[in-house]
Amino acid sequence: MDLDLLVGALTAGSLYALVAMGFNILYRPTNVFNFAQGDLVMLGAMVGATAITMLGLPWLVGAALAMLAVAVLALVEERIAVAPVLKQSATGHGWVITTLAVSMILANLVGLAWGPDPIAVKPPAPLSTETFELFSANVSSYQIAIVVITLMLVLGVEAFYGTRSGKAVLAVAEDRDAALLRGINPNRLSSWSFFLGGGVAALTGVLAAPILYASTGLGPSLLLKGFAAAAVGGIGNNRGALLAGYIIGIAEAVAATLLSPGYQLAATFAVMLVILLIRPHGLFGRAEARAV
Amino acid sequence: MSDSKRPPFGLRSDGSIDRRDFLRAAGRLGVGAFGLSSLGLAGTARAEEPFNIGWVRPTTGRLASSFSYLYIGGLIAIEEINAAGGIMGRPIARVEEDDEASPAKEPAIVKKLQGAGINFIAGPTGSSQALSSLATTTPAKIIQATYANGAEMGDGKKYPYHYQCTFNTNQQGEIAARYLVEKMKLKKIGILQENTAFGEQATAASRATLKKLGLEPVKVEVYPLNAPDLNTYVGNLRKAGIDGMIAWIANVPNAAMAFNAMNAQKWFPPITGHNGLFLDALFDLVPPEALTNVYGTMYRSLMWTDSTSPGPKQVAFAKKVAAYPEAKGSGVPVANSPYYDFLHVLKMAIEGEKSFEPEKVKRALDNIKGYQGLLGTINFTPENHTAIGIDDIALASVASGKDPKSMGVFREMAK
Amino acid sequence: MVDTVRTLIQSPRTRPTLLFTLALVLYLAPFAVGTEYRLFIATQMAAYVLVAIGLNLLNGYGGQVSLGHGALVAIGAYAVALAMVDHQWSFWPAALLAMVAAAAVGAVMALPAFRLSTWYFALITLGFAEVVGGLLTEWRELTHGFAGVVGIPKPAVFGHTLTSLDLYWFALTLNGLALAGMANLLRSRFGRALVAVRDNPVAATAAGVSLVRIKMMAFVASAAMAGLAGALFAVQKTVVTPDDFTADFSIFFLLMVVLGGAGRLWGPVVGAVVFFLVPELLTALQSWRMLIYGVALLLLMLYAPHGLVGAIEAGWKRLRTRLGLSNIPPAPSLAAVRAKVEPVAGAALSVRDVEKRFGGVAALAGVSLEVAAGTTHAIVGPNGSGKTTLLNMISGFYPVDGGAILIDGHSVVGMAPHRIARRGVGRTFQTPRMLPELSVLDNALLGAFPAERQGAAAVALRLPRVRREQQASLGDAMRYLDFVGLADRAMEPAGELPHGQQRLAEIARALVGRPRLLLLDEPAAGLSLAELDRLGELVAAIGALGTTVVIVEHHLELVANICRGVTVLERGAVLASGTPTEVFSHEEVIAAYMGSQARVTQAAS
Repeated sequence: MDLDLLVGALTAGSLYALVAMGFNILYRPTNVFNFAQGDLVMLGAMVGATAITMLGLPWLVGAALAMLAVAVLALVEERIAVAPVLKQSATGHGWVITTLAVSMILANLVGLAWGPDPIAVKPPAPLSTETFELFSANVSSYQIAIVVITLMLVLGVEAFYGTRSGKAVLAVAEDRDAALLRGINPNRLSSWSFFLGGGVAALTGVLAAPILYASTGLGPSLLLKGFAAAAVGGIGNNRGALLAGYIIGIAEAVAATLLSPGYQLAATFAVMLVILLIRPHGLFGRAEARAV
Repeated sequence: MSDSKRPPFGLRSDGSIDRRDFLRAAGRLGVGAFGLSSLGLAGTARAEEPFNIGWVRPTTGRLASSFSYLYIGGLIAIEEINAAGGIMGRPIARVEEDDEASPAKEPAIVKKLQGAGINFIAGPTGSSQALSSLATTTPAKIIQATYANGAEMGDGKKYPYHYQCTFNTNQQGEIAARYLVEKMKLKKIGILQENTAFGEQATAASRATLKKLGLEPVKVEVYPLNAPDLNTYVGNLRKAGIDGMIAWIANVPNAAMAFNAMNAQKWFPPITGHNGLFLDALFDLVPPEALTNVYGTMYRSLMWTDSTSPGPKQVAFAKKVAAYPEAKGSGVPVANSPYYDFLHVLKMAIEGEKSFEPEKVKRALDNIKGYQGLLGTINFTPENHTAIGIDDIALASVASGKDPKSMGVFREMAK
Repeated sequence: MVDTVRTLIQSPRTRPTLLFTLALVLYLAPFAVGTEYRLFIATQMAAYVLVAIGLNLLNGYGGQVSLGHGALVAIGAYAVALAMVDHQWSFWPAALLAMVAAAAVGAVMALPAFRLSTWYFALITLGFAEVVGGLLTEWRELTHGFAGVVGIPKPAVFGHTLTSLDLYWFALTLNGLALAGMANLLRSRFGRALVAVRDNPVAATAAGVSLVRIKMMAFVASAAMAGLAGALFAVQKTVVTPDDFTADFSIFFLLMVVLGGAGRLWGPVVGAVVFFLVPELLTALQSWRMLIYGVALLLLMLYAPHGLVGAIEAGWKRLRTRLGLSNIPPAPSLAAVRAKVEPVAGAALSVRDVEKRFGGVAALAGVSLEVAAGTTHAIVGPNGSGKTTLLNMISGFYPVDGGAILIDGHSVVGMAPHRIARRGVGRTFQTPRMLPELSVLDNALLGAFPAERQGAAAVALRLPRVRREQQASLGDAMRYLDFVGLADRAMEPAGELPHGQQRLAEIARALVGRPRLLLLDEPAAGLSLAELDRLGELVAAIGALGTTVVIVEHHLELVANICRGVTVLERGAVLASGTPTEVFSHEEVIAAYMGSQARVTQAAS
């Protein structure tokens, strides 16, 4: 297979993995799928693009601003749309509607505020999207940066889960009541996880902007692919998400070479389905012990 | 504004309506805005009663912001017409309906407008949306102009009450192919196409033209709208050894991806394509060397050459467009939309027949010949409802958008 | 005044009268306020309600999340469109085709559900919907690709083409039939089984419900309804294009169901009404409409987590309480029930050298025991000795790693737990596994699942033979509830019963299945002294009927009084086995289990 395509696949796959990681961070203590995740990514891209391109702020500042803004928004989402619903019924589906409602609200707000035109975002110097030859493949320094940053983030987040606070999050995910009994406050953890997850989403958006363009169409396509990467990797498992992201990126790239668009979708979906049927909890997911 | 100065029926100068005022006034006439059957208001109206036109566009939903500026031409037309006294003394009033750009919503909207006694509709935009709307407006005999370039929308036998006040995709396909083959003398043509109805039709038209010229496209690459990048598709075209490309891409992110892919592969074939390539946003996203050889289909009336310039009507229009902030950067699509010419042509037809009755107006519209519209010479026959002839279309240079002569709306004709 | 209201509420004629009035109003409304537009919207709404009713069955009652029902509607719509336009079919066989096609695709879509947990499966359905959308354009020779299918004619009956009014009435009638059929289905064993699948799958399996078959049935039923709705959609819109069926479309139906009230019969109707009316009311604020809508949705779910119907029901219950009316419906009369509980031919149980390993830990290392038919046998031992594991293996919930288990001479090793249940093995659990929202009676009726034989179609139509069968089961359930002493609490929600009585209710449920072998897992745990006595009498009475009973217990007095044989387990192996007298005077048993100071008082030997 053309090496150029492999590079593109790994880059796209890294972005999917990042979206999946955002999902996983939110999911761990709450067991909630945030349907607004794609919109958070998009919002991060738009805020970042506005800060960096329109206001001329340095890249790091723009990225930090985007991360902060979206993290706060995610926190607000958790407080008003997720926590109250979970409190009423820990097993109900209420949060499907509330996170969808948040998604609706965000999508409309972003559309009203920014309009349809994509905003160009240049990668931070010294990176660029110009390609050069590396081992007979055309890569750009920015693509390499994305892959590397993603790896670092995944390892970093996994390291976090090894710490005390991280373990506390895992405990809440496993058994909320037991965690309570051990003095862990699930509510604060949920809030913090949404905060962090929102930040990761924003970072994903800012990173994706030079390649995928900061526009209001960014959200929906990333939602499904990020969701797929999270599920295939094993929901809650970030290393799995990374691997799954790569798998989906590569499957997509191969399908693009060989198949027409309608079949591309079917092929990528088939790959995902086969993996999930063989390993129903994703590549790295753990089956719950049977409770009889 | 004091009460006596308030325009009747809540009508504002741009044709928008204050809903409460409208309903109150309509109530005074004894006719509910929605719900009771029309009392044949069309024929027996008093002079200053507004002439209601359905205005179907998405104001919510994902496509709302992309489609909103496409109606500006219509707003300008209404302002012009109302300033000159309206149609037979009646000011035009827009009855807006939000279709959320969803084909599923169109039939209901048509029924609603029909129930309000409206016989003329501008919009919707989009080919699936138009098809859906036409399925209901045609049996209802409502005169309509949608913004959809599919060739069948201009078929006067299939859609006798619909007037396509733009060029159609068949013409686009033909022009784009001809330019590469006849003007640039290229033989190996490739097509890069988005996976939509438009893309499919345009490719089919290009193929048909190439066939007439004795050629087949060397490669056709179809890509899905949500592709993360277009390197594969561009690469395949490059490897097939094409020396000219037709690009049927209608949205900016995809166009940017295509050009950036070509930039990454250091390959800049000459490209002809859709007028979506004229959006100014593209300049921010793509390095200028990638756009030097790129041409899009457009109306001759909106082009300048070394020896000619757009006419006074077009220049006046361009100046008015500049007054709308949401048109910034999107001047070409604003100008290319059908609603400006449709409303002016409608006025002409109604005043010609001295009647607002759809059948009479249709008769007048079907016989319009040689009307000099914004987009070119408009001709209708009972069988052909595509306004513009192929002679009025040509290719224009995308890069010329940076030239101040463009005034945001014009482009230089391709040499 | 209050008295009049109270009488009205309590009268059995009120509900049917209200329903009849509603139907009358809906059918006659067009003559008063009908416009083409309103008829159109109402018909469209009715089509969406059909989808929502099916989805409610699957999601509200069955707990399965599908985000792909839009694709099923698409299939129904395209089936009708292509059949009528390309092949000149009449609407009626085309609609049938639509239902069959959608049901078939729904069945395929359901297959991964059996392997995947709920949210993975939701993702699959979403992906599925996208793929169907992609294929609709890809297979353009069949589907006309992007151009879609235009010119779909209106249905015709005996040469008369339906007008919009006729179509509205047709849609209304379909809705009425669907609601009625759904109500019948939900009040039958299928409804109970579905709720069990959602709330307590283990309880369902123990009652003999095949989770796979029930889920598949729910899928296929909901898919068929989506297909029918698609048919209606196609003839109403007269044009179908692939763009009509976006991912948003699918999600929209789930929203309707959850907002209206998942798991409530009228939820879909209320949800659809809200979804259609609210945007209409907000037209004045065009661009802000969706924003306001999203906020309203958010607020609604925060304050009405069981949807609007749930909120209305809660309010209704409060009103009834205020009026002094009870919220518990009257129980069926016992007089109609057969007087006697019939004897059972107990099954013999033979466990030979059974082994069970969890990872590296041997939970059971070669356990054997024999229980003669019709006798009562106890398994005792310290915590962690493997008692519940053994029970789980006998009932099929844990796979057997070695050895044999024979019931009446037939091996049950490798058999699925619900099949074992159907062979006449009933069981209870350490923590009672009830369906808390259903009544005690409904919980007991769950046990009758394998006994009832009438299929779903017959049940939906409520044929006379279905009614007879349901009466019989009702009688059985009441009888056993009476047997365990819960007859007077039959209609209360099971979740509100105190622990001890939930125990008894679970036993009643097991008994309704007429088990030949009954496995009781620590039934005495947490019972008061009085309840303990009652339990002992109950188990003895069950044994007296002929049922073989195997009871895992810690209460040795109970065991000594009622059991013929006792097996003592310690750390996964048999420590002693024999009659209670023999076993409890065994030195090792006394030392290992009871500690050196405990003494066992024995009843008259």
